Amino acid sequence: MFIDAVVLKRAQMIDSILSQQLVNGLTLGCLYALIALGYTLIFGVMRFIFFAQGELCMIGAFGAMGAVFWLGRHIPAGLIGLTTLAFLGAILVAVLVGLVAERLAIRPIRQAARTKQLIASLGVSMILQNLILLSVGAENYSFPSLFPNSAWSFLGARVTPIQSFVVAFSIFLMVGLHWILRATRLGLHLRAVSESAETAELDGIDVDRTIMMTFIVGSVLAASAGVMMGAYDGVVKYNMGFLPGIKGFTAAILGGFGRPSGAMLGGLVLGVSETIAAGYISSSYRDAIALALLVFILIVRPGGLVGKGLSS
Amino acid sequence: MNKAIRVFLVVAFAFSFLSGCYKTDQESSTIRIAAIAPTTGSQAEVGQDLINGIRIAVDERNAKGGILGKKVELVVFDDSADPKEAVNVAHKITSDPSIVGVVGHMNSGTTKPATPIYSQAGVPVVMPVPTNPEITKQGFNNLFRIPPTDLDQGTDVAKYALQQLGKKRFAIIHDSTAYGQPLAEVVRKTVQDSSAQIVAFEGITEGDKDFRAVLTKIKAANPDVLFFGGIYNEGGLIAKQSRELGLGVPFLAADGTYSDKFVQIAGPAAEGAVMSFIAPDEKTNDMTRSFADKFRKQYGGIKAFAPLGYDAANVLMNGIEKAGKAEKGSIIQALHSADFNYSGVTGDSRFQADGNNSRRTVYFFIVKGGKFEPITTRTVSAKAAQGM
Repeated sequence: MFIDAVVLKRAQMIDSILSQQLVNGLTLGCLYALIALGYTLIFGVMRFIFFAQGELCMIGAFGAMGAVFWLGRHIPAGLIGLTTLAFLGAILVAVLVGLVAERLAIRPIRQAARTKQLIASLGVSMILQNLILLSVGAENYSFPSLFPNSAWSFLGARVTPIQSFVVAFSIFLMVGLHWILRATRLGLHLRAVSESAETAELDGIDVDRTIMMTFIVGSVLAASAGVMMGAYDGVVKYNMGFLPGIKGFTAAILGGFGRPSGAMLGGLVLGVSETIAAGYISSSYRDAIALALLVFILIVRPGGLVGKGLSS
Repeated sequence: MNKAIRVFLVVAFAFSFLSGCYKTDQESSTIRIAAIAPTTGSQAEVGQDLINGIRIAVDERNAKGGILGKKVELVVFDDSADPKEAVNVAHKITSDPSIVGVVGHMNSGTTKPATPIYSQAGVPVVMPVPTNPEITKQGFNNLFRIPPTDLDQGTDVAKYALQQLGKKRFAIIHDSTAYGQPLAEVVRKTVQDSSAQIVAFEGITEGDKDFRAVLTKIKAANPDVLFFGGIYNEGGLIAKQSRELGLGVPFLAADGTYSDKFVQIAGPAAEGAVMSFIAPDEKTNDMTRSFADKFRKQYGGIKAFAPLGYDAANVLMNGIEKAGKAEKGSIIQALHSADFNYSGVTGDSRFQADGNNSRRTVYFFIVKGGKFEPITTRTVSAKAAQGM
């Protein structure tokens, strides 16, 4: 009897650790999914990997900080008002930067060789990082506290408000994106251009405008992810977008590049595996393990988890 | 490439060797000393704070007429807390014969690889902050350390948790650097030598922001105290996230985590955290108080290591004065001499053969109401330190 109790307690403990790690991983995974979606959408319409997606997150986070810091006092509506302000600030700044980047760095070389486009996007990434570095320095800046510190228990795990918000809002964004893709004209154009830009043009679709709109959507996703990253981590720093950018890209590949559903799945899988690896194997090697997983999946299933993407 | 260009390049190359020809240290009109700390990068705040402490000492000395009739010129270098950069800086400094002494670096990780370079050039180095004990075990005679080492700090922190707090189940996290990891090892060893247990020993990477995975693992091991060996950026986040996960055990750390930034980043989770530090609080005595006031007028509140910078700079300048000439070898001899004694804001400095301070005090602080309040101190004196 006693042994049963011990085993049960141990099992409960393991259950609760596992569920806690799953909660942690799910939260992280949602953030990666949003970034991965940005990569996938832009790749879909342009066959181009926009490596500055992570930096758009960072810009979004700083935009949110700026908005709350400078305009926060004029908003009386408390935490909800401040959060809305943060997101608006983030989205505004990130969309602006995304559009400028598209117009100045991407559009002029759209017809150029793939490698040139890739290097240009890396350049954008570095420019954005250094712009922020030079203007605010390399310190960690504390993100304003928008969520209460309380937590509630769910299946043995402690879930904090910020974690619930990240998951809920990410799902909201992903559902919203799905709706845009399936039920709106923009979505139709996006899918058409992803399928074949030439045919779409012949059908009378303004390809340039569609690409611009895709960048806006990608920037909104990145900005939202950035605000949530800032709130979840509690700090922002000029290079905070670098590693998430790489992981988001990894997630997009994991899920099968070019398919939005793949990006979402890839993000979640990556977030959970990374967390499980850090929790059960080694925290020092968490990034290495996550990337090793990518290599393994690509060997076993080269098309990614969801199979062939929009491009073949 | 045509002939003219080739000739030009060769001549230019040859001329570049002349760049080593400075006036020798005897002939220059100022006494040049170098100060190195991270003035850019994620530790820039405390790095600049250290430089400011050094600067105050130099300005003070110059206002009194300088040393040996000459003004002291402070040359500041930035190592960004990066070991590779630190080595570059060390090469720069040692290739400039007019620089007769060094105050620096700030991090153990940057100081350690730089010290062989200084030693080979025979440049006296007074270390204001680095606490890794290995630095003074390299057999160099030109190194002088002001603060206690992590052998002192780590042992004292562990003993504080064991004896004052009665803890039995230690969870230890380190940041995998040349500072955090050896410090954590010292804490581990001290705990292992006692009747308490180590229930977790984990490494994280500097720059990581999300520690929930490793903290969840630690929570499962059921510790009654958490020690972190590392810097305030990660320390603050670890304290914050551990509370979020419901890990309510006391948070212990050492000098690298001691900073207002820790409180800022950790928020309410900082409350009750206990930290060892290698310098006294400004409220400790009159000397620290008047130094803090003077510092505040020029640079604002002290961030962390400024008092140590002040003392280290003064030690170097006193050494030069004692030597009677701005010559590296004589300065080293003067600092090693049996009657060299300096009383400063962080305590007394008198150097053992290996360069460690024979009088070292570890100070303990607790975070109360968002501020660091002193709790207790432990001093090692020359006699007890025989074995070091």
